[in-house]
Amino acid sequence: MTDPRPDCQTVARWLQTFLDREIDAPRANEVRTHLDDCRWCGLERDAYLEIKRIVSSGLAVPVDEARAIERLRAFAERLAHDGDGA
Amino acid sequence: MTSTDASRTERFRTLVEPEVGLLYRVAHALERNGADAEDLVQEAMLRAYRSLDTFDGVNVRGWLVTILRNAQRNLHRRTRPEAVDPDVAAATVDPVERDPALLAERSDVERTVLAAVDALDPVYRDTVSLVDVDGLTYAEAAEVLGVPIGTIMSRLHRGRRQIRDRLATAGLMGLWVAT
Repeated sequence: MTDPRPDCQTVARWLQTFLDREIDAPRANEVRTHLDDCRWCGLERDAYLEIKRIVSSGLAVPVDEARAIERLRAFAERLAHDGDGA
Repeated sequence: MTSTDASRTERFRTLVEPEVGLLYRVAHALERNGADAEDLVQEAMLRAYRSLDTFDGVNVRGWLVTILRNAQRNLHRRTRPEAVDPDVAAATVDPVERDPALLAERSDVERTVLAAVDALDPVYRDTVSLVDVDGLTYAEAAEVLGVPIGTIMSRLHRGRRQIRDRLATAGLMGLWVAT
């Protein structure tokens, strides 16, 4: 009988969907168990969690993108305030 | 201002304005150019403003992105003979600029991640941003970009892998606990 537990290679393939909560519950449990037991895979998980934290904090939004969004917000506010002139 | 105008203004502020960042990132992913993305979002907001009265208020993001994609199709019908496949066409990469003062306050890990994000192909960067900054699910990201979910998964995997590899190359793996 083969061991049903996923190996490191399989967990690496599932890791992104696990971290994004896009994986089904039974598979998530398998990944979680493996991550708790495997130091190397746990390090990988922590790395990707840190990357997600930094990107989602908005720090990774470049200046030109932030400025473009600022201009668009101003445009939206003018539109809301003044109408479209139609 | 009539009560109808006031109501439209209020709905526009409540429903549309909070989604400007999402609209810009979707537009950037579609256009691959900051100036074109900005023009496209302006056009989409105008259309959204004009059709607010008929919008039922359900799934505002889906409604806005549909408007954006329709606007993009119309613009390209006038200006381009063929749609661009973002996975095949060469990217028009906007140079990434960052605030030096802001960078100086960041940890080595954060600076390295930001540099890695800047170095990503825009296709990967936009997909990572839509999921991590805007909080879109894979299905939502696939829908707004008009690609299969598998493409979203592949772009996320490759994009994040490149960022992770940069951390490893810089010898920073595992150092975030102490930073």
